[in-house]
Amino acid sequence: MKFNGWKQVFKFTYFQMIKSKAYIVSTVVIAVCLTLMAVGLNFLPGMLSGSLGELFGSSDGEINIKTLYISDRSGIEPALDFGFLSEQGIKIIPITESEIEQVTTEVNTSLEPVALVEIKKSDYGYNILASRPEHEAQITADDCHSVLNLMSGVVWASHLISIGVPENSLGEVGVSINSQVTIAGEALRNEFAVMIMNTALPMLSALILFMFIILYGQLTAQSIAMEKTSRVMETLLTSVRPLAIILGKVLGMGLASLTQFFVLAAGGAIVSVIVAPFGMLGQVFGMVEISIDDANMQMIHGAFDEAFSGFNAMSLVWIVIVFILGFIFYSLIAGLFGATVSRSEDLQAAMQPMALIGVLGFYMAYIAPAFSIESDNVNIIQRISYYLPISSPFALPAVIISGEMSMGGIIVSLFVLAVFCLLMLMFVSRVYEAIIMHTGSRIKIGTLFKLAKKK
Amino acid sequence: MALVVDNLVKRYGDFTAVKALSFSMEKPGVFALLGSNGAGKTTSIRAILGMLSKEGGTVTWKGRNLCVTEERVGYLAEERGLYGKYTVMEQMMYFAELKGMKKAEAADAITHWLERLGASEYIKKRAETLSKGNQQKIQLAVALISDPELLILDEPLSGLDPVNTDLFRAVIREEVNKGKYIIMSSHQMPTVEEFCTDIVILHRSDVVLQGNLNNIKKGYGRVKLSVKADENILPLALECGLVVERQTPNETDFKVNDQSAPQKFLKKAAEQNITLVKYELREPSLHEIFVEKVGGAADEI
Repeated sequence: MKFNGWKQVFKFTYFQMIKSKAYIVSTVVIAVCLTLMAVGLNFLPGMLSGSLGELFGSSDGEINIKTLYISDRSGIEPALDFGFLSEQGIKIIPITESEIEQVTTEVNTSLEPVALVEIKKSDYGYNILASRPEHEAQITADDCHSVLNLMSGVVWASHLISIGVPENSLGEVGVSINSQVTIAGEALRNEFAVMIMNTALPMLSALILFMFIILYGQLTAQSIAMEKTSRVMETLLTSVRPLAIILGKVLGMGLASLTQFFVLAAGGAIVSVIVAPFGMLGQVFGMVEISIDDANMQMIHGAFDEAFSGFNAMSLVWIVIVFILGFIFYSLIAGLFGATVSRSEDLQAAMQPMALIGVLGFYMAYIAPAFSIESDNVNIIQRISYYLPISSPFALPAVIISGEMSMGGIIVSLFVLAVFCLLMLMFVSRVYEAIIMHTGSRIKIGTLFKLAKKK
Repeated sequence: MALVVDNLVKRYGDFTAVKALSFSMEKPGVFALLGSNGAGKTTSIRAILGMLSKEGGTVTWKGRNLCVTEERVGYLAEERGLYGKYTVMEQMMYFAELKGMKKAEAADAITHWLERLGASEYIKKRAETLSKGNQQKIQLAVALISDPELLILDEPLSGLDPVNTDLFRAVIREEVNKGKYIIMSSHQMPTVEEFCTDIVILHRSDVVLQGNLNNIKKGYGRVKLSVKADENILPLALECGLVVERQTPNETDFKVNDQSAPQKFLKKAAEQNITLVKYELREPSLHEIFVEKVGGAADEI
């Protein structure tokens, strides 16, 4: 009987919320930002590395040097061979040490795309110095770096050959050695995946959940405070009990925030699918084939594959349950604080305790995994954050997505959260009816506990 | 008994806002809850409706504890409250559905009441764009939308212009004729006298007068004499033992302490050929009773 009418409050809250200008505008603005982010993430790395230029058929990636003076004083025998640069249309002109001064002056004042490279033996290896014209438009520093990278490889290989390394073994000399520590008996983890799971994923998921839960919790409190201050509450109370009002409001706001979340997620997914084949995202998420030679991309793709190994339809269901319970938990607190004020200007001060609890929970979920960045061990703060009701709504989604938490662990954590939601509902039901018509100064938290005890 | 309020007590800490309020309504009609500002009228109404917890007493409706969410109760609050950002239709539909009405039934009722109150043109407007009087019309329509059996009107006429005051009075009269139980709190004594059969007057949380209005007046007797004459009648009136209570350029009100004094005054006026334009020996008005009972506090009204 206490909850009769909650459905009407729920329906009204939900439809008024999603019809409001603020809701529509915020959804559109966030969607635009997400689109820009998806496009940026997809194309920016390519643009920076020049690979995007290839995509659009531009001349990016080519070296803008037409003439290259080379002074080889490395002492490597046989002499260094930069013939491959000629194949790229660069005219190679070897010079002697005595000509350097004159060529330097010539390059400095040249209006042509010309550069000078000096290769010298030093005490610890070799120095390669490139000089370009003063006029930036002719040759950029990037052009010079591109040439130096290529030439360094030749110097390195020639040096190895000069000290007796067989030419056909050069590839093996540069083999990379990867060192890792793992728990005996457990599968070896991809380090990059561990880093994603311990930093980016918890941060992003906690931030998204925090934004939705706390923001909409605040809106719930604001709505209740508004009904009190505008005296609409008196009209409402002739039809529904206070508990039905808060329950309907919490669930209505929760569904509105879930709707916004799914609209944005669906929009983000659609944009990502559209842009993925043309840039990085498709390769990272394995939507387009990655070249066998592109070892870095193979590694990143593998890491993402591992970091998101737990992501499937079922995990999405779990995340929605986490969201709903987290939302109910925080919104009940918000609604309670919203009812403690009779003037809307007192609301900010009244909401501070909830904001503090929320921020604490958020930071536990966000910071704790970062302490495990060097290993794949779950630290004690992380473990607590999975089961503490103030932090579990923010901490659980990341470990559900990554598959880091067992089904049993998820169920226990959700059970604890559900129990606390129930306890919060019982507490709210004890004090809410007593304070909903309160007027005058803001009710202190201590008074709320006294009221709960008294009831 | 339809409505019985028995020994209702409401306290805020050490302060008692309502001290043992008791009254009942046996049959349909209008019951007036009167009192000076801060006497505890609105607190009493909120406690009766169950919005405020009470420290003592009971409120029963047709023999059962009154639960407003389960009965057909309409309430027009003293401090008007509407959702400023929502249209009249949206919020009236919401309030109607909260009362358990179906959408079609609610739509009919909304149309009916907006037409009756001359507010149909505002149906698609946001409440915040309406004038105070029109907002009050919407509030009254909300209170009446579910055809309540028990209607509580807290200062229904305050802030209305004369035309809308007449409109509200006509609507209240219609509800009375439909056999509704109405509790009305008002500072407009003529309106209360027009509608109410029983009254209770509160003063500083205490009940200072209670009962059937006619009986209360009869109990006072014809103790007021209003006289209008072309000549100065004051010396004659004083000579006859009448006490001047109020004097205006056109009329003088006297307090009658001795029941033979009015007759004596009338006889002597005739003997002296004084033309009396008005001579009214009457019971005290509710306004006069109220002022007498709440004393200086009446100045605030």
